[in-house]
Amino acid sequence: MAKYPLDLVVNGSKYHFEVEADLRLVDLLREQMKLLGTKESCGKGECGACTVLMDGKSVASCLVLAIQANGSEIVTVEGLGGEEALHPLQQAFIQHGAVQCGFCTPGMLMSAKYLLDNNPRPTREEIRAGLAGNLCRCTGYVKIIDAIQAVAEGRLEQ
Amino acid sequence: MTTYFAPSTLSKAVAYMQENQTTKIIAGGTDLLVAHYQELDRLPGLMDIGNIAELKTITTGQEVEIGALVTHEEIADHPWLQQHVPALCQGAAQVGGPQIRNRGTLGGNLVHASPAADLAPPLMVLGAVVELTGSSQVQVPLEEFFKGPGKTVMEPNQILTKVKFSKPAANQGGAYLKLGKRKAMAIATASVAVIVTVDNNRLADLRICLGSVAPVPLRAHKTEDLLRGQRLDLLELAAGERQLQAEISPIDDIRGSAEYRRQAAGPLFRRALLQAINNVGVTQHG
Amino acid sequence: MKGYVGKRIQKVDALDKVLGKPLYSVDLDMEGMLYLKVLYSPHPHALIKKVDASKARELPGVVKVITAADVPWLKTYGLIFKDQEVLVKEKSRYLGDRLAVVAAEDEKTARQALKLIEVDYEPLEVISDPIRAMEPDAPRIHESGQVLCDHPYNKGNVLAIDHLVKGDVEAGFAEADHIFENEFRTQHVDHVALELEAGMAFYDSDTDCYTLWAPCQWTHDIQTDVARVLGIRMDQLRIVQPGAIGGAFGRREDISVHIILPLMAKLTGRPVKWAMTRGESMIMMTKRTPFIFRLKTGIKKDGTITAWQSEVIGDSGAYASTAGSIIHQAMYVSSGPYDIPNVKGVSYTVYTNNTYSGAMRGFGATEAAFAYERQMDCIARDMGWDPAEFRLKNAFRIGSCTSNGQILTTSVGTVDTILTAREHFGGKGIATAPHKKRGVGMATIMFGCGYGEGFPDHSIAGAKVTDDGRILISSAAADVGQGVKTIMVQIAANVLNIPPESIDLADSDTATTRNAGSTSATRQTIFSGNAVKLAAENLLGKIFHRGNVELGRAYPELSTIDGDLILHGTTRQMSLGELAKIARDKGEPLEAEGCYFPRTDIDYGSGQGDVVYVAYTYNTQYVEVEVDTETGEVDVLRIVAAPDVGTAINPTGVEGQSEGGSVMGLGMALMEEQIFNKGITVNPDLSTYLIPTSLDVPDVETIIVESGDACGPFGAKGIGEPAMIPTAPAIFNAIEDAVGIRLYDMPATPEKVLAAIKAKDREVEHE
Repeated sequence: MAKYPLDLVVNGSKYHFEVEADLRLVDLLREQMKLLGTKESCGKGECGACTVLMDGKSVASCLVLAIQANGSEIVTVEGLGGEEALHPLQQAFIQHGAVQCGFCTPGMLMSAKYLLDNNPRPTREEIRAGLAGNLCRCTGYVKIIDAIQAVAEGRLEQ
Repeated sequence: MTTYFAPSTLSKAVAYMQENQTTKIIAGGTDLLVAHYQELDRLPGLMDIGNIAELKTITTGQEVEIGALVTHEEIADHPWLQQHVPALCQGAAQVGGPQIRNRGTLGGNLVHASPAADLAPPLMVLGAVVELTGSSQVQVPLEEFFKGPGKTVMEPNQILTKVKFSKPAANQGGAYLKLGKRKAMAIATASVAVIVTVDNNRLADLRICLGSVAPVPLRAHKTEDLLRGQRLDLLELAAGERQLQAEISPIDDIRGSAEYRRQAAGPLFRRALLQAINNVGVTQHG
Repeated sequence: MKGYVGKRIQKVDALDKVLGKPLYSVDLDMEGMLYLKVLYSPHPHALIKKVDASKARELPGVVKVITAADVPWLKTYGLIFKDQEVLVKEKSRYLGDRLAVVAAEDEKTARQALKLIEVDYEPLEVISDPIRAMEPDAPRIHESGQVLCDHPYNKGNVLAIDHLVKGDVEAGFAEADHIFENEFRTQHVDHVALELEAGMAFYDSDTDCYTLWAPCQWTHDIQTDVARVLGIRMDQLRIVQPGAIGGAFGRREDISVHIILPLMAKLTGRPVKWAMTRGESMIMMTKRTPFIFRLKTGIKKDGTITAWQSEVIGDSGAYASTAGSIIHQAMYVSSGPYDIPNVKGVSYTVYTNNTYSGAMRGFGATEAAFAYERQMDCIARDMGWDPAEFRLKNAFRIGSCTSNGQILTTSVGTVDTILTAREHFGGKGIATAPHKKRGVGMATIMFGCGYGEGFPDHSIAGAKVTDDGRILISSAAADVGQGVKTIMVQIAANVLNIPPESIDLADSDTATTRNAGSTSATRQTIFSGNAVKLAAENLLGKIFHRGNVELGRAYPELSTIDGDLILHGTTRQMSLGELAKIARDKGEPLEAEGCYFPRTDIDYGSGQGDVVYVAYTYNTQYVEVEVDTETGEVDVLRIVAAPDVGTAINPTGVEGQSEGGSVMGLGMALMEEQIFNKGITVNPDLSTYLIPTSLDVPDVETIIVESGDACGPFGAKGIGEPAMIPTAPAIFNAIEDAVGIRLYDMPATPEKVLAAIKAKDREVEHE
């Protein structure tokens, strides 16, 4: 099968690949780059588990062809913050008990980041709307919303 | 064997389509990748129009033009559109979740011809025209564009390039309401867009378009005829609802029965109508 | 509460999870790994005439294709009855029956190979309705009959009939002033754990041993069944839980990938991986059991319930799984947390050609509560009682006798949870539009923790001091996200007076940990919590003994503080690491084990026993809804939950369960239903099978009730399942309060609600 050149930036580093046209972005990240924090749960953009940022916008990486990310900048959960320098959202998720099984967590974090990047002071309803594309089956969303609100209001415990 | 071609200009894209008529066009991919889930490798070829800058612009003014590649999020968040065509922004804001709205495009929402497409009813009541580019360029009223679920008047070598409509007048107002089985990420069970023209406390004109109640987005002409010219304080809302329920042809499917769609479409329409009337003037400053 | 119990300790696995680090089953891979895909039956009920895989075998990249004919030696499997074939030979009984397995170099090739397999089959009548299945002329779904009970209607399809007899129900009805009879129905629900079924296996031909990485709610039980099916010894199969499990909710009690993976690893000689798609998982894997409840209740004028009779029919689907237990338990608890002298029940477990039913959060109690709390609400309304007062009049108290004949002697929270939830809820608000109506509903429930009913239910845990002075806790208890790992660390920390950061957990692995029983039945806090507490106490005893010997002073002068053994009144102290080394050198290592193994019993003829469950968790919820009278949409505005958990080991964890459970209950009440059309799922994806999004749910307000005297560690009880049970009936009761419609079937879709409102309007017009 024909391969096509793909240049992109992932979590701040430049990469070059030769990819087939039908490779999805989620497969590139997970299978070729071993960035396994990005999860897949439906493959059809219905659950948000595979959410990453593409040029600053949240996208379902199962509905983007890898080749479509040519020239783009991708941020995954691995690029959000490291163990030594957690992103405030990661801290808040831990502090507020927003993590249960953890499978939706990376996608939730990326959607939350997109929300706060574009609306640093969202209301609780705006947070709900910002997470509407991310399903969670464990938490009932309450503590995830609490965590995001805490970051927005600068109420993180140090 | 899936081939991939990503032209940077419309003319290259059009030329390619003349040669490769089985190629599928991909833009945001939010419909195509769902439709071909786990079978992408069986597609003969893909042409990605996502790099064609000329299809990404929004031109505002007396005549509005929105490029086919403009995303739902860009429409929903566009201040001028919010002010002048709030119904369109409401429609765009109710497509999927943020991730889908960030990728899905205006053109994609129309060419897939879903009876539930959220942008079709608000554009239809605006009297929108779509521009199709192939060996020549043609303008088709949106009302003549849809032929059935998944079917449009488009030829295999055509690309939907633009949607055009005139800015609503100061005495016009619009609204879009959607009924789904949950509050987000739901395909419409029924939806309705209304645009009204108010003159001297009368409903001088109105256009109604419903989604998910017929094989294609459906104008409710008889209901429009019934209410046209009525005084705002004497609007025969109940009769309007009944007329609307009589002239739609919904079906039973997983999202609702025909009977339910018929019942719910009435009040949904009434609310959209009242909201549209309420929006007259409010949205027209500047 | 002193120490680390009762504290909002951060979850021990949260840091890794926010970093995206844990490896779930689907994230695993090995050098040289093959990918599996499975061909399923083309028809829900058919005689399989031929499965020809020869073309698939010729496809480049395909390494192995097997059909039933290739593995005739495989035994059948199932959690209770072994009625399920790994690959079906002669007959398919549902759409998820497997006909062939392909192993290929990549997933794409494996998918292509499936399309090349030719299947000839002869369709049979598809039985989607359990009532039809029970009719004498219905075709038998299972021919053998050996596991089936003697049923007058249809011996082929009725798997079990169970009974409950307490007192004299006819005498009770004779005593009553009013009789109420209603029928309630519940639906097929999918667990929708975000992580799909997946796993990886490896076969070592040198040792003839298999290793399987796949999530299990109960590793040791799956190990037993898989070894039996493959015809190998238990110690030839090692099951390792992946680094994290993406939700379970009962689904991972059943075998999914667990047999085919080790089988194919051996047949191919290569590591193999199988990851299901969402559609595959929804069609093949277990569902919440759909029920019909026919309830009859006798009441005196003063509101006393004199008699309760339940006839319960449960749709087991194509196979038994645990449905027989789910269905009889639903019948057992279908009179709720109410002290009723005369109770009679019968339940039927019926095969159909639907996807088979299995455990899902509540295990029959969720469905039963929908029926009994609707029944109670209808009665209260019809008799003019306040719903809470009517329940309080009949509620369990210390000394009450359950319908299973168990006298409740401790930790009975019904009254407390009702009063707490009612007080916190206050009153309802004002509707936001003329076409909207507000309503309030409540429901109160009980849930028996542990397997109960005489099942040998136990958990074994280990605790030891490592040479670096840390504590290692070993337990096979599966953390599926609910937080048992954190609970175990808190309990050990509390007993040993050592900070949680100094405690590690061994991996859950059948080769290195002992049976902890399943993460189900709301039992891990009680069972593995107690096992860890006992192990930690035994370890503490050894630490004190060794400290006494080494430091030469008596026990009252010793204590552990932050990882050191301190001798009071002196500067002498010794780190636990040092102590451990000395102890080991002296042949008495600082290692201990704890096992919690309480007795329960039941007489299956009557459903009566002295201790049917070791503890009951109670939960009352108040819900406020707003109903759109023109579209039928129901907006849940508030959920107030007052669960009685005995003692909250970790209040944040309890709230998390309460919130997540309530939202799962909301989904079941309003939108969730896997729809079968003649055995075929018509909505096998997440755009047609809807679960609540963040915009569909209110904030759940949880007020934890702590009676503090349950049999779990530090007086705790479980919360996982009872968290969700009251929500659905409370929502239905609130809908009735708002718009006066009486709904008997879940879910209350906008369509059903609107139809009921229209029907009621027509009735009013006629009057």
